[in-house]
Amino acid sequence: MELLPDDLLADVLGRLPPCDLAASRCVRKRWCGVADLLPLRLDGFFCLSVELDRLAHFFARPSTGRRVGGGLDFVDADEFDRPSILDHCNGLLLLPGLVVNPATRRCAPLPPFPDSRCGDDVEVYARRFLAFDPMASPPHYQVVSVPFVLRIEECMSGEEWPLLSYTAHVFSSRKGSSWEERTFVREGEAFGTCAGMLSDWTTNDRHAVYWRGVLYVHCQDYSVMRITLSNDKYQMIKSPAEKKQGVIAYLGKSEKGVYSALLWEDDGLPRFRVWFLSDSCGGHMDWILKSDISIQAVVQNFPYYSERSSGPWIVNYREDGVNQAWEEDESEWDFHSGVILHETKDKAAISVGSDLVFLGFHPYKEIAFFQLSHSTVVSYHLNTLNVQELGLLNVRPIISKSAA
Amino acid sequence: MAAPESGDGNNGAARMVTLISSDNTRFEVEAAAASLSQTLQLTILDGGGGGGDGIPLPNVDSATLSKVLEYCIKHAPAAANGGAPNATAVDRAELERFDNEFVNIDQSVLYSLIMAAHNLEIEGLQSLVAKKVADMIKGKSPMEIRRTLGFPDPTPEEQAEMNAHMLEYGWAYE
Repeated sequence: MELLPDDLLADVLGRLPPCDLAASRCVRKRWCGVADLLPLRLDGFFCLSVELDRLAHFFARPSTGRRVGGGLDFVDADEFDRPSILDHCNGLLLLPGLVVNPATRRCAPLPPFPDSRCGDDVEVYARRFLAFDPMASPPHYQVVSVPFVLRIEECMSGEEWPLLSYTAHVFSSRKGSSWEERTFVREGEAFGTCAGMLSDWTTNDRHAVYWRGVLYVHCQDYSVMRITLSNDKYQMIKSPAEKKQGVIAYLGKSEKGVYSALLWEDDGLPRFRVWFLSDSCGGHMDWILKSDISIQAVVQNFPYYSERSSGPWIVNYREDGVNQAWEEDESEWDFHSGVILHETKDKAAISVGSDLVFLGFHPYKEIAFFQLSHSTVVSYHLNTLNVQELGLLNVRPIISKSAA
Repeated sequence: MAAPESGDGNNGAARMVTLISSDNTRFEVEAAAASLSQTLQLTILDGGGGGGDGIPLPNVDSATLSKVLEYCIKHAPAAANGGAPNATAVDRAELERFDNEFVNIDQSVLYSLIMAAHNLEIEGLQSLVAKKVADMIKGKSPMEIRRTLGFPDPTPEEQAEMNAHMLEYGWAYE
């Protein structure tokens, strides 16, 4: 078996569940290299509910739910009463003061934050984001604390926006034990003044994507702050669309990297538009339109709250809660199957953001997940337009803050 | 003129082909069984392997080839049904039982089998062996995996590397 060529070794290792794959990476150097080239897969995702203080719910098949500590019950409950997820990246979660791997049920505490304005739990001045690349060798993670409140004096002085430099705190698991203050220098031209930004620079939920060593932070005017962690540079990328009332914007990661999505009602019909970010032309960032589709057919097929689903995915697996037999299945869910749904003539009365919620993208395939009528979750393949029912997720998600 | 629809067995008898292993042993099998190999299928469709010709397989020895053919003969009827959507539960259970038993063999044979399956492009057989090897790895520590697969004990450098690996990000991967 020692002589097994790489492609056959990949065939073997690709059949292992994550914990065994992790052990295999340590067997020898070549195995590690082969394991790193395996396509990553999505077995489940977290969803934060509006109720109960942003409680995290884990949505997956029962076999995954049993394997992964999606309930986060291994996190010390005294200290973190109801763990909420601040950010996520490639399977790791950022909790207040902790980085957690639910698949291995391991926690790593973060050192105390140096700036006394920002406690570990209350994120008033900054938002923290996790940057973890399991493909990097050796893998390590960084936590970036991005301040989002501009100092008043900057705004009053009419300083240009984006600022010439931007200061953030970064913790790196490789460098060890403390936060480091780092200054990121602007690339590209200014396109306004800070005073003009103030109204939009609010404290709502922000989302970020980490892709190939770069952190992309979604800002409130839908622009994206692109922070390159390796060379301490940053730039602002304008939004592909104007900010409008009633439009829900989302930044996420999928097959080609960074995706921007808009969900809104267009003359009573739900529309979904998706762009991905392309940096093909020598460092210049462009949004390329990927999809512009109507979600009406999906909405019409799942018009009511449901307590039953043809899909096997469940929320918050409990050892005693599963009363039907389920198969021990370690292969990846087949996201490619499904059917193409067709619109009927009657308009379904829907409310985007309530009856129809965009949960997020599949991180490695061009597939979107939607929740319908507060219950059914479907996957929507952006290339084949196949729709597939996954299961029931009877929680009200925080909009545009789902975790994959 | 187009070829007759069922190229093999025009007179009721199944068409046979001859395969020649690296150590010059000749195996005569039904074309349908040998056609489980994508590589052989092309040759057979072109009319090769019949009569006294035989198809030489310089990468597969006779012990391995006989094992490969055992698999192919067993799976040929199901494969002919296009993955056997009509197969009865009994048939499927029987194939599964056969498969389980089939890979219950020495590691060196498993290795030869997966290499042959790969060379001959027999998808089902390659999956079967890969799954078996994966099952052998499951639930074991890196050291146990090495022992199970008969790797030599790690050199001091390798050991140091493994330790460093576990230390550095074992917490995320354990």
